[in-house]
Amino acid sequence: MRALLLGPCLCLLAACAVPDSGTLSPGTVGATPEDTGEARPEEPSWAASTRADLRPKRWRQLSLDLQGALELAEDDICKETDRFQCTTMHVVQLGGISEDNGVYEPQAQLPVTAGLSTERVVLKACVNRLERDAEAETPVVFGHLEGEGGGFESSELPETLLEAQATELWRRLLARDPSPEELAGAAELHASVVASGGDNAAWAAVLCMALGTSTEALTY
Amino acid sequence: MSSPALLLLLSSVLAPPAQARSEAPGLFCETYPEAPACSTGSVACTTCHGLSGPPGHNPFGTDVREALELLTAEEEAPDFATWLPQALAEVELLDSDGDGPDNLTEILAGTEPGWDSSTEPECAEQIDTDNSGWDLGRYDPAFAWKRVMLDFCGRSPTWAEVQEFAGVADPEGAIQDTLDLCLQSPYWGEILRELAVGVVEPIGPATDINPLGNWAWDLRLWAWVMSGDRDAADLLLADYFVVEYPAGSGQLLAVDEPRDSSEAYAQPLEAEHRYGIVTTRYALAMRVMFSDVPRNLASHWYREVLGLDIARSEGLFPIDEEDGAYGWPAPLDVDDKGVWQEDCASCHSTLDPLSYPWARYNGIDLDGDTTGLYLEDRAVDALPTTAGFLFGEPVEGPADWVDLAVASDAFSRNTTAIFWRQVFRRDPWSCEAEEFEALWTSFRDEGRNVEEMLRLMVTLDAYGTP
Repeated sequence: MRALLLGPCLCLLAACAVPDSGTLSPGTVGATPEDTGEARPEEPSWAASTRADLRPKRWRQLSLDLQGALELAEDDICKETDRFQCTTMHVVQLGGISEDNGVYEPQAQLPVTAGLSTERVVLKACVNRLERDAEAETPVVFGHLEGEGGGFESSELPETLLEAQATELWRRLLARDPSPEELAGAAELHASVVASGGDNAAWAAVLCMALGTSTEALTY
Repeated sequence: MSSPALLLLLSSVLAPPAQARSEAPGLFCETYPEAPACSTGSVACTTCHGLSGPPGHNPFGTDVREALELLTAEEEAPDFATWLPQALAEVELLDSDGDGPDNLTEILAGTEPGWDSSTEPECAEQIDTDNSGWDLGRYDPAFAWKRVMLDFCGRSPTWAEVQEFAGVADPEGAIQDTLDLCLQSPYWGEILRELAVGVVEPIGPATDINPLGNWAWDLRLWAWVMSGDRDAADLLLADYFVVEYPAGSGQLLAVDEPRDSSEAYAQPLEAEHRYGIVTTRYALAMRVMFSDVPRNLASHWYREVLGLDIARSEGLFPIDEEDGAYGWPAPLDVDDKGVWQEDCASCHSTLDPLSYPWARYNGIDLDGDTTGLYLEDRAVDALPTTAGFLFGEPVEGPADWVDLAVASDAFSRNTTAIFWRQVFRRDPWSCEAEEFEALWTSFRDEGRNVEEMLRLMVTLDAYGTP
């Protein structure tokens, strides 16, 4: 199962496509369309809120959402060196307080390391769930990977299984169904992961992380 | 409209840049006593300064500064107190922020003369509402319900719950039901504790044998009065204690007296002298310490409970206790600290009379066992009586002080603001000011019940409009 763990991480480091929710197009992580010569995605066709009044979820909300979506105990979400809860270690970056250190109120602005801490927690939670499911007789979240023609360590995944697995993640992490465009993006992501040497498990982990760190998932 | 801002703004013009002049807020309120900000004694720095604070100015502050420069061009050592009111008068008919009303109108209306509300993009009208996800521009029950789940239960609704909510016949009722359930959740209990930390500012070990007090008592009291449909005024009025029972359960229970010797050590004060969170052992030890005049105790709770930070020149109601002996409002120099000097008096003429009622409460006793106790003869040489002032009104002692405090607008506004900031993560926008005022005045008038206030909060457009 360590191979499963390494898969998504290597994939990320090797610049697999990591789309955010709703704009699933292959490309280099961190690169802008101008960098790659691609056309910038069209503006969304729906109206934007003038209030734009979104707040980031803080550490308890992030943890509780992951516990619910991935059916993990709090202890199983993310631990540093397998000993310390990530949400405790990174509590201030994740919007919490630290009375022992005299931080009596959450920081007014998101610290620059908030993104790193958030990605750390979400990726670890996704991989932890994936590891458990790969070893379980009855997988909880990633069971669609094991359908006929698929497999955690296979790079083949029939469209029905891919869409079922993607829909499972959309529902669990964003509480809604994916749009046809988003499903197409998930399929493109799978192809990109496989082309980079990854397998179905790597794709599932990256998709889980991409959805779990999307603006839609992290703000409300 | 903040006087501290004015003060600093003007000091940068009339005095060397490093010499802040703390009398500006008072001068501003002397000029405009009917301004809403002055009626509460709190004037924001952003009245004259930019959002980042001094030394930058907003358009109103810039106009005031330029008026001062013109008025004092021939003066060698212009007197700040003399020229500021004149400078303010000079710019009254200008519309510094260009949003329509002149500066005087905005000052008297309680809006910001230096900030064009039309440039607050969040308050712009929602023209295009074609969004398949949310009902933009008006209260969307599904949006509000999702927020209630996250704000008070700490988690997002599941896919199944979203489907279920979409089919409910009474979404507003469902939102209230969800809120009531969430207010009982462990998550909300943790949030209450976290908010209490911001108020109590704990230092040291949370153990009953800590001679400087176990702050866990203070956190529990705060969480108790802010929950369970209780009157938040008990924060200052309680003569009871709050314990966790059973221990480790997270469940709170009010008790009339300490239940054993260690609790009696932790909270040694007799019931007749208890005033909630002000007189716990931790509060007295940490805020009174060794001082005859417990200025830190008074200013801490003035800030945390009433929202008035004297260090920011908020809530200044100068009391001239020498009755004109000086050319400025001056407090009695009861402990020979030189507080009657003009620069000191600008704050101490409020702070010291605020502190006198608490002079009989002992701080730290290094030699005996009187830490956190009420001592009839404490500081009697400096202060023969415990008469003082709060909001410029005379109070005879601590009972008067807390009664006036919890009945004040400042208490209700500040308590409401604590929860507003927790939920919204910001202060109200100008387009939300009316709803915020309705919220805290309802809180004030309906028994200062935090949970009831939250039930109203989630119905506001400010809360439920995506």
